[in-house]
Amino acid sequence: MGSISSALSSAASALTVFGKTFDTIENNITNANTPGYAEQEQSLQAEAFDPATGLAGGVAAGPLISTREEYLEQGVRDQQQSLGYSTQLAGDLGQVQPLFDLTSTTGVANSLNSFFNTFSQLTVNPNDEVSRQAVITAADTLAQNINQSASGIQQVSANATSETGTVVTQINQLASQIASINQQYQGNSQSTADESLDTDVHNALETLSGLANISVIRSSNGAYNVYLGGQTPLVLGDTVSAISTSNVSSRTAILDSNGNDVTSQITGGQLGALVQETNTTLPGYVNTLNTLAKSLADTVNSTLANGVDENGNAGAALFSYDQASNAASTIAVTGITTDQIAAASATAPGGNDNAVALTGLGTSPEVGGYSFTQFYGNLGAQVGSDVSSAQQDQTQDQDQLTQAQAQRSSVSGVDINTEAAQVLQFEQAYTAVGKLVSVLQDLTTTIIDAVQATTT
Amino acid sequence: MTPSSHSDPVAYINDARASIADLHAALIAPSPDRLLGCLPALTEAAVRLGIVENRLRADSGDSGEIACAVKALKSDLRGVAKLIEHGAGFYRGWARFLGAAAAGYTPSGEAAPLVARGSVVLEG
Repeated sequence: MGSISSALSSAASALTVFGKTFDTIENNITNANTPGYAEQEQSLQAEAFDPATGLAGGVAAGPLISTREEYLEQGVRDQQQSLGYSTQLAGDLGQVQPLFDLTSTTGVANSLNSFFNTFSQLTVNPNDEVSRQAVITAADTLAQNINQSASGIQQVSANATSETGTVVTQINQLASQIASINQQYQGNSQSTADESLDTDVHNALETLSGLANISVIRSSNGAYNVYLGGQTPLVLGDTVSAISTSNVSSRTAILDSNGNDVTSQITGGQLGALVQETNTTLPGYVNTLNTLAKSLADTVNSTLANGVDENGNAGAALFSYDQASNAASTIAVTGITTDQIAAASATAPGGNDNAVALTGLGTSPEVGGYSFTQFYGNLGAQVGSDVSSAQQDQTQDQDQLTQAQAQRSSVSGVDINTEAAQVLQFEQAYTAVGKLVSVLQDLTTTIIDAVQATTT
Repeated sequence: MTPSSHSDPVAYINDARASIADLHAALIAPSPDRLLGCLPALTEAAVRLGIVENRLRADSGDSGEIACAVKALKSDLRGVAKLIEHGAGFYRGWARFLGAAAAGYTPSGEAAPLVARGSVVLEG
């Protein structure tokens, strides 16, 4: 049989709980009109009941649970991740775009045309020293422009690598901040009612979301556990598992606290964009430029080798490069002299047959089924498309973040019946405008088809 | 939107873009009334785009200018479609959340459907 003292203890605990519940209600009423205040709810926990060992049962106050629903917070954090990603990508690729300005009078596109034009001039007077020197000068300008484009991309990549380290440091600092708040939650269940802590932790989580794709799970003791990419623990209670970055063979890797490579999990936020840029997008541009440089050098050199120079010798190479993997950054003009340019064919020394063949290289499909100019133009178009796409995503992500923030503030702290009616109204409104927008999209597609039909 | 008083196809398309811009603003800070308030202008835009389509089939006109305007409209529509998709997705999830909070879960584990409770107010 339970003792009178344990029964009194249980009753006293219940009275304490009811007191706290009333405090919570009073607090909600007081703060009903405070901007950003999220209604609090007192949770009740069952106490152990075992008369044999003197455990009297009853209820005790558990941690206060904020009605700032994690669903709403996650909606905003998702958009922060998307916006962080697209903003980083748009900013960095925007620095690459000027290197591929197809209308510039000084870039690769223009110097490719000028280079092949000098061979055309050489066909007119194949033994003219000025025309021969013009070929060497134009080749040198072209090689330098390709070098500059490659080094420009590599500079953007180096900056991104450096920024990756900065972002990783910021992530670890925010993780420490969240762990510190968790420590307060765990040490004192009353702290879950602290609005200041609540605001601090949500601000930290939002900022963190802009830096990387995270998922957040709140534990029963009020602590926020944070996982990178939904898998790698970053904050568990008051413990931080700091991440780090490494760069091996020009590849950026993100490592967890045990040194495991978790790069593939980083797909959002600024860090996701930086990883994408340094490991995929920018190396892709450089590889394409390498293909162009190598193909240009090999094709021109082999055509020259088929001809003879002014001295009747086989044509010397005009271009050199280190290796295929860095052809764009190392392509250069050899020490060729004007008399060594093979303008003539072996069967007609002193003629212009080989200069004609060299001129033809400017328009024939020599690399990937395209002419050199077309191939470079495709790369420029790809860069432009990537930048445009990132900028459009940035605008759209900013809109969606604003929308998510508005949604969060519109539903927080309203009673459930009012909320249910409002949600149903929203669903009906979205369905109605969605149907009309779908009709307008169909009509627009039809009009575009009709316009194309009238112009063909 | 103040509809164009003339029947220029490009003006019709630009009117439609203005309607979409209003909808875009409503989707950024949505309320059911604001969204539903966009319906008349969107309906009018659909009617007028139908007229543009018919006119194009009968007479090409300045199809270059129309193509330019309609591509801009298409881009606008893509933007609002994403906002609608995102906003509707949010409320679908929120409805599941509230349904579970109000009435628990069905035997199959789904959140209970959300039901709006009517109320009667007597004044006198």
